[in-house]
Amino acid sequence: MEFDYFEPATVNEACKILADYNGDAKILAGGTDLVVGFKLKEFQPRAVVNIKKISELNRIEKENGATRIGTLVTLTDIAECKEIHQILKDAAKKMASCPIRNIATIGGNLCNASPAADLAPPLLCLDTALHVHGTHSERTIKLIDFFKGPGKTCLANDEIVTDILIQNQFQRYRGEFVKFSYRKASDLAIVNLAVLADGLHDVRISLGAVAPTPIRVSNAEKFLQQANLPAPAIFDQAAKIAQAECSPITDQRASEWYRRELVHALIRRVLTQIFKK
Amino acid sequence: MIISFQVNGELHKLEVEPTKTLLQILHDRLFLKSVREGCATGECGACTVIMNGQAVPSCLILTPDVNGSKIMTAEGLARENDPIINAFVTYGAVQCGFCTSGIIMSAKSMLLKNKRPDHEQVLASIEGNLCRCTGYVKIIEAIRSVINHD
Repeated sequence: MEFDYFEPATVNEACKILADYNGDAKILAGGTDLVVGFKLKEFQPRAVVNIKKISELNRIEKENGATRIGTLVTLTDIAECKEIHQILKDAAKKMASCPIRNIATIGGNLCNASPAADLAPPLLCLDTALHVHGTHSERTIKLIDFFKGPGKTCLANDEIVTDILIQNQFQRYRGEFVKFSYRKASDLAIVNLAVLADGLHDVRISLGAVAPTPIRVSNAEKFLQQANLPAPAIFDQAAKIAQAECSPITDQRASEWYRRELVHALIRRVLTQIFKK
Repeated sequence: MIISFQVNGELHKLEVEPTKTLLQILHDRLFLKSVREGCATGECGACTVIMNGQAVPSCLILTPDVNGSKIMTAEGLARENDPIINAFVTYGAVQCGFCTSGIIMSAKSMLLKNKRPDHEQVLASIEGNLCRCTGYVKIIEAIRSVINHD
């Protein structure tokens, strides 16, 4: 294969190159999705834009009650960072394998936009926002609005995600992340989910691999908000409502039926765990 | 483009294409045959090397990112008589040998950061390496044998 190769020194330079190639350029961060995509002939871009020389994209900073994670922060660094909520660290730790995590990035996982992206459920529970730069503008996008379909995001051709912003108020929330897969490592989720809760009145549940994008199951969340007691029957009902909010498919890993069963079982199990603590 | 980098302590300067990978440089151009292509998609671990102190899948690293880096392969460990190499022989942890160097580099990179891993950490260190022959038991024993329990 062939491509034009660029190593821009700044975000603006990178956006300009993306604009010039108008959709026919791909960003190279960790390369763990992109380079695999080259080999599987999924991606055949005319240009590759390596953003790893832009050092300000690889930092974790605290500011104004939020934590700003640069798009190039690796999964290993997220798994080891003390400032980040445990559910996000757990998700990072369960991805792929150690060598992959050492080079794969949070930005890459989100922008590759797999419906099974493991970082998405915890980040959706954390009301994450993305800071995005284009050639002429900057904007902040809520993660819930970012994913548009399998492999599709709302980014324009010249836009780059520069930072992932998480509000700090969720640090005290209890939560769990579950990745249900056949293998303990080097595997994709059949279903993944994150639950974050501060009492019944604020429970956040996010699921992956059960819809064209990672989702929040807001009907189930609202049901829990109106519940009086953290009782098994309540958790069971919430799990059933969540099932109805999913649209899983049958694929090589599991059937639609099995995925629905998993949604029910895992949500019930995780809610029970969280409210037991 | 021209890149310059160190492998096992030796400096190299090469003209490379950005479409090629670190695996291709190490195996095909520098003849470091311990670095192998098993799956070419980062899942089998046979191509694992240590780059700038951490384990990486060399089949997924494009050549421009190699510039300025320090790489270690199993040949380097063997040259330094690293005990882990001998342990794999002593414990019968090698059958066909295809996965062996990748597993050694994964284990070595863990030991560089953690001198006293527990059993779970040893298992986790090689979770990205597939072995079709041995069933992993002797591999794990070999790794555990080089942990310094002073």
